[in-house]
Amino acid sequence: MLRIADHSFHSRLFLGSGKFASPAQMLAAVAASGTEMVTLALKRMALNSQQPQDDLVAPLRQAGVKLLPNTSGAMNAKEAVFAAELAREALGTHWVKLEIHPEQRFLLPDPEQTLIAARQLCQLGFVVLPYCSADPVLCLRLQEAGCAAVMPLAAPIGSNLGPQQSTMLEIIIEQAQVPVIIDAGLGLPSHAMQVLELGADAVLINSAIAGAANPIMAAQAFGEAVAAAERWRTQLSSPFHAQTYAQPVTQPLAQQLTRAHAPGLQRAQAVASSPISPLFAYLEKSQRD
Amino acid sequence: MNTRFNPLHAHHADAISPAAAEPEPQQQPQPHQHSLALVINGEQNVVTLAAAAQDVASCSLQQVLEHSLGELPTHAIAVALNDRIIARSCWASTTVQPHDRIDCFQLVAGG
Repeated sequence: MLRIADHSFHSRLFLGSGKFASPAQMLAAVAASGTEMVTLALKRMALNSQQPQDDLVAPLRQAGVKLLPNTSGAMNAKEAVFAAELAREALGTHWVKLEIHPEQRFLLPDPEQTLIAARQLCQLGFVVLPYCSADPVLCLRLQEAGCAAVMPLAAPIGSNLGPQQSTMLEIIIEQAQVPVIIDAGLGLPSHAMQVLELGADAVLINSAIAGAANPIMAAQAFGEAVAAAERWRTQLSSPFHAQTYAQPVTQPLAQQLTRAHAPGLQRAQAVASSPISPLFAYLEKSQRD
Repeated sequence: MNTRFNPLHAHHADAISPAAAEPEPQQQPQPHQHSLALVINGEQNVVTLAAAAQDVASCSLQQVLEHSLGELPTHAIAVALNDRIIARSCWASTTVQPHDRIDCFQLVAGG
């Protein structure tokens, strides 16, 4: 169970709602993923539009997911605070995903403006989840500002590259007193598992699912991967440490051969005729000898 | 009598007060064309509304929004007047002046 501010989540997968072919596809992906929180963006309404504007809010609320408005499009702290206040008025939520990326080619977050906006929004009573670079010092400062979580990127938005700065993410995770949600750049279910196994608390996925050949199946795959990583973490009683030396899990072959193991040998004889089973052929020969 | 009655939106329930349901012909004010130059969502707009003679000096934010956006969404919309967010409950009582800036936002798909 993941707790952020006053809310608990069973799923550690959060979904972005952008780039889907249709609202119906997005809603189906949300359902398939098992996510409990979905991001939305603010946009100016079309004037005198003849077409009804898609209402995503009502069906997402019906689906029972928490809505997380973002401040995407904000170029500086002032615009981001204004966007957060607009979102609070529109949705009635004081949760906000703080995003400030003035540079449009790589959409990298502006660390200085993000920290300024985070401080202001926290003082205004918002639950702030800031999208930020994988900078351990910045994440500490955002935490000190009162952010409810930090959302360092794994790689540039939409790149699908997977975690490019795992060491930095590990330091962020080790220092964090608030949940760490890895946002942006995760392209595969295995990427999500990788950062969760590093100790991240959750992941936010959008492009990898919305841009997949079958977004609904992709959403399900991410959901299953995140659930598997969660089960793995749950069974750990102590931190997992990789080792660079071998720890044999089977006895040496010579010891096995000296043991009388009739059922195994019968099976070995049955399989030994296969040209791809040299081990069983060897066992059969050693029994004959 | 609702002096801000807008014939463009006569179908809108809120636009017709109970007194207007059975009007007395001699008391019906004659609507005047009322044009306002506004900046709506960053674009210059001239909004022409029908307004009662005694009310020609101002229009409400609600009127302008209905004129500019058509039927308003019932939820998930935020409006700012000159960079000040106006709660939905205050749209009808907020007066719009010439050259005001109005920005209307809704929630859309996004990461």
